[in-house]
Amino acid sequence: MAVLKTENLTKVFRRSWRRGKFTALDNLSIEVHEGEIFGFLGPNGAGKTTTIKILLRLLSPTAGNAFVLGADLQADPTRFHVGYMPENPYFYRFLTGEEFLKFYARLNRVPSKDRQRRIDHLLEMVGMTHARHVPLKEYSKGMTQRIGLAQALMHDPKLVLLDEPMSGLDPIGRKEIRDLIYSMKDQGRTIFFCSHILSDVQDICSRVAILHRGKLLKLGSLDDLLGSEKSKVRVQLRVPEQGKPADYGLSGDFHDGVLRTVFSNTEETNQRLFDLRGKGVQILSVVPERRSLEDLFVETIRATDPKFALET
Amino acid sequence: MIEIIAIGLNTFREAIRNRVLYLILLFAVLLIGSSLFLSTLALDAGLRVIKNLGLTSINVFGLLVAMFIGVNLIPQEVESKTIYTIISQGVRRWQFVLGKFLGLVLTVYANMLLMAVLLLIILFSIMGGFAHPIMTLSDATFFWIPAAIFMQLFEMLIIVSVAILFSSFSTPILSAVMTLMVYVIGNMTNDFWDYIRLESEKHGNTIFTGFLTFIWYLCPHLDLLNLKKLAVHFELLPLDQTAFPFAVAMFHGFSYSAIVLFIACLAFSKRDF
Ligand SMILES: Nc1ncnc2c1ncn2[C@@H]1O[C@H](COP(=O)(O)OP(=O)(O)OP(=O)(O)O)[C@@H](O)[C@H]1O
Ligand SMILES: [Mg+2]
Repeated sequence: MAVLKTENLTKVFRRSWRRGKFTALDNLSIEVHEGEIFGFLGPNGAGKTTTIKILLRLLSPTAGNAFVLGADLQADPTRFHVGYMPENPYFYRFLTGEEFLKFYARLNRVPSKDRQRRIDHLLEMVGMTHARHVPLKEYSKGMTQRIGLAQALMHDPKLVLLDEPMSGLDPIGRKEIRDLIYSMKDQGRTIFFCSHILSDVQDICSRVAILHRGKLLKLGSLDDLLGSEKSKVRVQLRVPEQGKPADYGLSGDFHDGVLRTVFSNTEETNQRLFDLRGKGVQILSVVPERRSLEDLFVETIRATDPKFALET
Repeated sequence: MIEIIAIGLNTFREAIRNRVLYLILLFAVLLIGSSLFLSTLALDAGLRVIKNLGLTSINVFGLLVAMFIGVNLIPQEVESKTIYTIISQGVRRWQFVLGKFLGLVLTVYANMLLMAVLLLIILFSIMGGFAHPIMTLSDATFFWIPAAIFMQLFEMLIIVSVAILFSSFSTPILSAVMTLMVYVIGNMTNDFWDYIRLESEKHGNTIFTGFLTFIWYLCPHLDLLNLKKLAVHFELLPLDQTAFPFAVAMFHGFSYSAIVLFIACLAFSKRDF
């Protein structure tokens, strides 16, 4: 089932009369399936935030339509429950973390007897119990990001939209957010997120879309887009003493008894390594030569827009 | 309703932790306090100064809070992106606007109450309690001063809703200027009306006087709600001049702010972020 679906979504901004109109989103059609982590990628200004704002009814689309959790965005004004974390938020400066969450609990009509338990649970989940009485203006970027995630989960949403949840975080903070996103998935939620940190996206997303200047350039699962099954595999082997690679039907870079070579796919790799092990060849390393998401991203953008200066 | 109250209380809590509020409050309290030095005049004149300054500073305080805190409330939520999260959790935009209004009204009222108590304490101590040599003087004071402050509550309803309306679609600075303008014009609708009459007597009914009449009808009639003259001088002027029947004035305050809020909700619901 599609938890989120856009149909030819288009947004034209009217800027000042001198600069005219600007198409930020151009016939975007994507579908996000239930329970997946979906990465929404694109260079700065691609239209990612614009898309999210339309999905949240913060912006009205110029054309096209979208469906969020079954609700028709254009026709259906019912409340829908989507968790959302904005990019670069800074929230209420004068509230403490706990007061902040209490506010969202009230908004979501969490019964007062469950409120404290819910808040404790969320604080615990995002690792912010220690800072519950600290005003938000004293929070670091990572802390703000985390309390933002807690807020997004207050009403136990089925769908969570995260706009650059890892921006500005250190490697440890990023890993923790990654783990949090995983645990959201384990709780059965669907996660749709934007990020410029492609290694993270590659780690956790099952499907991605690449957007550029409002147009959809690529959409699909990472396996399809990066071709994991057919990718080459780079291996390092130690050939027994006095042996030569040729004796084992191998060729490649050979120094000090160590051979570096490439097998053409996963199947061949398995076959050959099994044989070689039997003949006393030692396996030092096996690394799939998978194309990285970053390569794909750069190639895709360059192919459509050679002059575009990549800022990622 | 739960949403409106939650947003209102949250706004109130944020506002009372804002330093700007205390700056304004300090200013107003100093203003009331300064009247104490002037009151060394003859008792009667001194009292009049205190009452006048006291009522004025309560009024100006409300205006300043609306101008410096009120007009920022909505733009701030947009800037910090909290409005996005609030709306994404199913709160309607009109509920948001009403919640912000509620919070601002609470903030202004709480502080007006504080200043009212301060003013009454000052008056009480200067007049030596209720048993003033001229009994009627103290009777009247402790009736008319609270009455005037009570009517100011309705005036503030209008000012606060106007601030919310402008800030729902415009920048804080522009909203502050517009709010100030509405306050000033609204406080002289009587003089304004005299001017329009004079103008049309001289030149007949022109487009200009028609326009002014239109503005006159559009403006809140804040001087209906102003009992300062009464409260300071106990002048029981003819009803049609100052003491417009209370109920009508209160109704005016109520309905005017309701209409303004309605427009604010409409403007806000159409807005792109
Ligand atoms: N309110 C607006 N009025 C005019 N143009 C806008 C408006 N909002 C966004 N844009 C333009 O639309 C384009 C897309 O912006 P958007 O914020 O969606 O990009 P993004 O993909 O989120 O980029 P980033 O990675 O930098 O966050 C940008 O060129 C931006 O200048
Ligand atoms: Mg963005």
